[in-house]
Amino acid sequence: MNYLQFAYRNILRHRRRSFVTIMTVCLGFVALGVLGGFLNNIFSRLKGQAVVAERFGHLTFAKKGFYQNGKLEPEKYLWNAKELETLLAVVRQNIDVELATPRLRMFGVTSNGKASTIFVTEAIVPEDDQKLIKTNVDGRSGIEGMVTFGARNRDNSSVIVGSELASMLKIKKGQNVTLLTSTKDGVANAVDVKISGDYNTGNPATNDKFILSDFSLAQNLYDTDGAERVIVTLKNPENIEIVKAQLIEELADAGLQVEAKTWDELSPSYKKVTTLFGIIFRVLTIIISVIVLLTVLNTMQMVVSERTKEIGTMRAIGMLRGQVIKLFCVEGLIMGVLGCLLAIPILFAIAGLLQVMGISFVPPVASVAVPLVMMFKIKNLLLVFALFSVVAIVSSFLVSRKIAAQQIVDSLSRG
Amino acid sequence: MIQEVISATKLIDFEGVSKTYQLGNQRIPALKGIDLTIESGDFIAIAGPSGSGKSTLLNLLALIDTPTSGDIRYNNIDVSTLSDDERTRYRNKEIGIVFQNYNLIPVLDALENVAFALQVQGVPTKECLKRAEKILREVGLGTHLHHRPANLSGGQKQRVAIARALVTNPSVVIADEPTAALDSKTGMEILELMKELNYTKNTTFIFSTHDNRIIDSVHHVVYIEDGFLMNRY
Ligand SMILES: Nc1ncnc2c1ncn2[C@@H]1O[C@H](COP(=O)(O)OP(=O)(O)OP(=O)(O)O)[C@@H](O)[C@H]1O
Ligand SMILES: [Mg+2]
Repeated sequence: MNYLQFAYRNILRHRRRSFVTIMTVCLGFVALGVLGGFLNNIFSRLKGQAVVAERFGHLTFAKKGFYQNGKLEPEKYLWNAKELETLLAVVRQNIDVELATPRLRMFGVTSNGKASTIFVTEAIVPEDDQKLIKTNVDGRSGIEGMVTFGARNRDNSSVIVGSELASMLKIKKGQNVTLLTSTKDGVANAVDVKISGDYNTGNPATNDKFILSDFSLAQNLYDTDGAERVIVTLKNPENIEIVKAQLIEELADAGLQVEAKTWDELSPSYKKVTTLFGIIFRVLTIIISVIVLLTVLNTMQMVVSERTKEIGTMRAIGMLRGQVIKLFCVEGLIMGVLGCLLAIPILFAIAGLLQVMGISFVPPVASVAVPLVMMFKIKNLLLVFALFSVVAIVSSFLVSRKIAAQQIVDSLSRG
Repeated sequence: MIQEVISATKLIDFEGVSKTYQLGNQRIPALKGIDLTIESGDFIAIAGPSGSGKSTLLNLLALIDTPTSGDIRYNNIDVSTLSDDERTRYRNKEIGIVFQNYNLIPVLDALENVAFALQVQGVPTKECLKRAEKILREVGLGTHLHHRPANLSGGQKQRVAIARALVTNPSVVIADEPTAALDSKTGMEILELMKELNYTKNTTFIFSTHDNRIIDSVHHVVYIEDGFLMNRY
């Protein structure tokens, strides 16, 4: 007879009460699991939108100070052709790097001949972009409805526009629009481009002004043979911070002072959503943990007061205070662990059901619907498991500590 | 108080032991300046009217309560100097306790109940069970090893309780009215068992009783009245 067996038999003794306690833990786990599963999925979809649809890749390298003063003095923060060559060579040498591609970004006004509106254009290298849109995001490669320029017979004056921009200007594939912008020196410049497609950027803040244009066209318009930024995707994005630091150092050795940003730093909507939901999730975790704590506390209180005489007997026979506390902590822990274990098949059943039902919804700060499915992270589930186990032990400890400290005669005279 | 046989060794020594209960702002003196010496191998009945302080005295003897004043020595150790854990370990090794209402643990069977007293010492389970089984056979329960308390009669439960008290080979067994919950025939059987164990193992027994038949059949009786030790013969 060890503590586990002894505790287990005691749990079976108060079947209904133990069952309610175990179910409370179980439901708490399911609630956190479902919410966490939804959030993981939403976060992952938004990540896909940022990395692929908004073309941020994993890492962006710009000249040091670009994000501070690049708008005011664009020329000063452009990489010239030679610098760009060095930059790309150094970055592409790193074994963790999947893709490195130059970019230019320009602002201006676009017109369909009748109406005009502001635009932002991200100038991309078509061959590179075909690879970028297949970047693996949490196991999914590619985003539904994502478009880029075709490789062959390509006319560098064609553009792809955000779907909201297309509908605002009522422009369709094959039609022309004019882009009014300026060179790096601030001289006005314009070009007629042909719409070759549209897509939803996933972000309502950019979907009404985003235009993908050809890098070579943009170089002409901007009057440069260099680039403003280099976008990098990694083979294993888990290592992003390490690779980032590595590359900054390697580039410094090559004489380039760079500023590097990760995709989430560049996507303010991702930050907003994850921060907000993260807070909600944390608050809910605390509330549910408190409910679990109170339930186990209450159960243990009842158990202990019913078994006071028995505790007195065990102490009289030679059980140490610590051993009594340990016994009750094991009882609490078993109920906590059983609750969590029971929750896991329930969670997967719910996940499977949602997959089959195929519901989708548009998360806040997004413009594209995402499927309402759950994505579980083993690490997070284990954390909740550990949290509830600790909560169960703590509540058992709090209750049993008092009873163990009682005078043995007082315990014995009860009941 | 008469002198005991010279060959016996002094096991327990009470010197001016008093116990006063505090009930609200009322002070209830339950024991008043008890001097008592108990020798190893004794078989002692404690008798006295209800409320005289028998249980209080036995609780102090069993080290499950502490006196308000006075000294209690076990094998010349002043037990008031022991920490709670030390006292518990001492109790586990040296003192067996038998309760009026058996106080067996309901989720454990007879064997496990007896083994429990060894297990809290950290003795390996196998050895605990072996020793528990041996002692259960000695008290005549070899056929009921795997019965839970609910499936045992009162007399059988008390036998399990005595086995549990003896399994650690204590110097003394303390029993507060061990026969009170039993019919008189079974009560006498339990008394015979205790006498036999006292004889064969030389374990000291101290128990309280209301039963005159039992008092008449025991050599050493300590009378207590109103918290005072009256006489001992
Ligand atoms: N926990 C307690 N709180 C207050 N008073 C108590 C307590 N326990 C015992 N007493 C009082 O102390 C006195 C002695 O009680 P004790 O239980 O030792 O008597 P007893 O001889 O065992 O009686 P009985 O034969 O009825 O079991 C009694 O007056 C009793 O009311
Ligand atoms: Mg009594």
